[in-house]
Amino acid sequence: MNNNLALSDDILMTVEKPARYIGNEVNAVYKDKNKVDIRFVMCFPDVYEIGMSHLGIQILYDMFNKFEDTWCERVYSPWTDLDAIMRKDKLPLFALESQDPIKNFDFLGITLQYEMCYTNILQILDLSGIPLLSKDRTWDDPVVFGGGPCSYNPEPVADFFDIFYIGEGETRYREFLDMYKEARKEGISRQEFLIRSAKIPGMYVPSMFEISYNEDGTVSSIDTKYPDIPPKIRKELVTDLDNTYYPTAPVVPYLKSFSDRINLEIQRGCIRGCRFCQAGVLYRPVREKSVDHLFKTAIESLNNTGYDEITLSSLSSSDYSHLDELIEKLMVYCGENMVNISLPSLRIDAFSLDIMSKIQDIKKSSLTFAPEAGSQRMRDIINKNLTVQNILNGCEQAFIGGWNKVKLYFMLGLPFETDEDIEAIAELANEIAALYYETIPKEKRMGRVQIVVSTSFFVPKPFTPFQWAPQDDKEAFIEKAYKTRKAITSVLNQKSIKYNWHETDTSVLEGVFARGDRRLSKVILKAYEKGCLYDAWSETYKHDLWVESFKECGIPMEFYTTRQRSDDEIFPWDMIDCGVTKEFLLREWKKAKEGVPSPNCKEKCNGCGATSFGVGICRNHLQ
Amino acid sequence: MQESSSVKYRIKFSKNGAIKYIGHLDVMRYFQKVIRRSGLPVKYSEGYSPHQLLSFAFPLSVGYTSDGEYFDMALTDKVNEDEIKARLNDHMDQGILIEKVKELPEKAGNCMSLVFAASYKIRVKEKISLGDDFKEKTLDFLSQETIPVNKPKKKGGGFVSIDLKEYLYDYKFIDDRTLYICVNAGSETNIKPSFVMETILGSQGMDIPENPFMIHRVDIYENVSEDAIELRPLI
Ligand code: SF4
Repeated sequence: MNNNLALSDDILMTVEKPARYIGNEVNAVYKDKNKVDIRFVMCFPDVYEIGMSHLGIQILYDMFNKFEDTWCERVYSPWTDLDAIMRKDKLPLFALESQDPIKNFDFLGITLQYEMCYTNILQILDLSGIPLLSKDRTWDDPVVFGGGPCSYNPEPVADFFDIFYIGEGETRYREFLDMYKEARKEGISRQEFLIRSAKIPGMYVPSMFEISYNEDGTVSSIDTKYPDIPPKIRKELVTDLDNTYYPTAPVVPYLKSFSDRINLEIQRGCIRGCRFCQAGVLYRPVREKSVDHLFKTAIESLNNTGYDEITLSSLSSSDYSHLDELIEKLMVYCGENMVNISLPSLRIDAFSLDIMSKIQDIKKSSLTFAPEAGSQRMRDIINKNLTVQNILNGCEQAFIGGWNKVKLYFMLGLPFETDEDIEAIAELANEIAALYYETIPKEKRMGRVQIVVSTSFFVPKPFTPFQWAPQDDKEAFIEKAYKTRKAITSVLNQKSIKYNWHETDTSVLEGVFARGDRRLSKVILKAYEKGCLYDAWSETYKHDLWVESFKECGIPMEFYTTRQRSDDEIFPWDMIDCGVTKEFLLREWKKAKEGVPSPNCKEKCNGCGATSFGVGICRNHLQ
Repeated sequence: MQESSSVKYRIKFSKNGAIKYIGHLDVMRYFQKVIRRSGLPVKYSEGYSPHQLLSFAFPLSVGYTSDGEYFDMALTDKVNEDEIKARLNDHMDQGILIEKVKELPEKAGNCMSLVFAASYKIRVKEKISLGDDFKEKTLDFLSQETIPVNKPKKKGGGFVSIDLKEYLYDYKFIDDRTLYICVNAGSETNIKPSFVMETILGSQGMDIPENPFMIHRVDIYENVSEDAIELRPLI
């Protein structure tokens, strides 16, 4: 426990939710700073409640703190109210546990979960008093690390980071920290240390790479600056998820976070291969955890935290081989101990409906489907293996079981989309509504069936088959949303269907950064200097300032979004090897064009390249 | 179905240090988890999302510390009072401490309905400079027959005229900057400690900046007399 807070009572009583800044939560780790060699601070560059909901940081926090020589603490973005005070009073940003300035730490690790957090990274560095550009830092500054899904194309923020850790954090940090201790003992320069870092597997040191460009703005070559620097950085991954770090005493926030429960990761990766999905590629191959391990972890975590809810997390829980066995065991335990179970990302079928009816209030809960596209043609293009018949069967059983709320998620702006594909969204919603009225006799209906259709705009991501696809511009997005709305209002059961759609401006910017290159660092810096911050929040997003910044830097957004990319284009992220080959992705891109789906990893191996890791599902296909 | 049996307990706790910045709702959620971790046989409500049967006496404002907070809890079995105290304290290290546990008779009213008065120590922060005669002037002010004041209404803005003296049961200086008061804490007539000190400073013509005080709640009381005021801590 630490009652020596960095902020004064006056400040804490002025800001919204002071609990964001005081640490001291249950299971937060406190060590004697004189007895550790390494001070690490993990950062999620968004507000506390969002950051605390993130599982990845909890895993690494647990791992680092198991190292006796290391004390790992946490920091999140100060909200705009505190931000203003800290700038005015020149207060340094501090870590939650020790309340010590970040500037005094050995390492600052920042997780990059979404592109729209990039200006928040600069806020963290700035408030800490750390030079924003890696090249300006000295041994007086912490080594700034990046990780998480966006670090697979870290180029837009390359100038701000010293090192990116590519892949799953559990594997290489120990070796890395030992190297660091050795380096400090020897007294070598920071530059020499970065060169050594670049030689450790999984470590990408952007300053070791020289990027050259063609006249048309595309990348012409990626070269290393020093001999012996590996030209490709291969993703790190955990081979045995039953025998690695996983927190059984996660930090429990006082404030209600967005995930106020135990998060039990049942597997990593996904067998599906949806062509728009980046996570499905990055975490290949699928590796499952054993039921025994999961059950044990679940009980320990519940006991250590006092949570009364547990959720199974994975990209597609229904594909976990031992799901019924796991759920059965958990249901018995949770029933006896007043614990709720929640099961997101389940396929709707007889099995899941049966479970859902046991664990939740049918009247309040809704069925969720993510067909992602309205027409079968489009679903074949994106390789989403879900037919109208699957959806209707699931709905019919659910309606009979008493449900009458359905949520449907779609994307607009997918490659090769036509008007018919958009209209098919409305038709599918209409068909579901009609099915309800056919299935459930009037006297048994609890009012109208409620169908909510939500669409988001498709943003092509690196390391997916759609990384070659042009993204729609803002006007096309809006037109498509209007078309969807018009189609929905003209179907027979329109009164039972509600339609929501997401922001467009941020989808464009997200698209720029997703497939961006190093030249964007200066745009991000400019936008930050102009006052952009918390771009992921619609209330704080300032589109005009972004447009201005791009203009002043002479960089057109369209170059990154709507441009047609050739099959053999060198991508800015080509120095990163995520295990899935570019050839495979190109093959999938071509199959998408022809509307040909691919089997999933359980049915058949598509030869994506991940078999080279020699783990997980790929082993089932080895002869 | 038969009503399952239960035993009620009243818990007194203190809240000091950094945890004073945690609001009332979050403290309630904190306790729910503490109780689960302690493994005490807490009683749950029926239904799809069962919750623990806890009821808190009187919310403490964010930023206040306290030595006298209370909640009632129902257990399915009888457990020794000292054991409850020890088991809860074993699962807390955040600045909240269980001070006392008492089993309640079956028909006992819940602690919220008993709250009649509360006592506080109010410290004027150093950023306000106090004259040498502050103590004397304050005591003079508080010792008047009546202290007519306009108290902000609980809801909807506006003021009500009351005689503060009627709701002020005790006062004394702890040191040059710290005043102890005991005031009414009824649901309609509740007197905020900050309001008392603001009134005092106002009567001496002082400007009051933002966040002027450090406030500590000493205890919460019920009135055990039918026709007079006789205060006793909730346990
Ligand atoms: S190598 Fe085959 S089985 Fe393994 S992840 Fe790739 S497609 Fe799936």
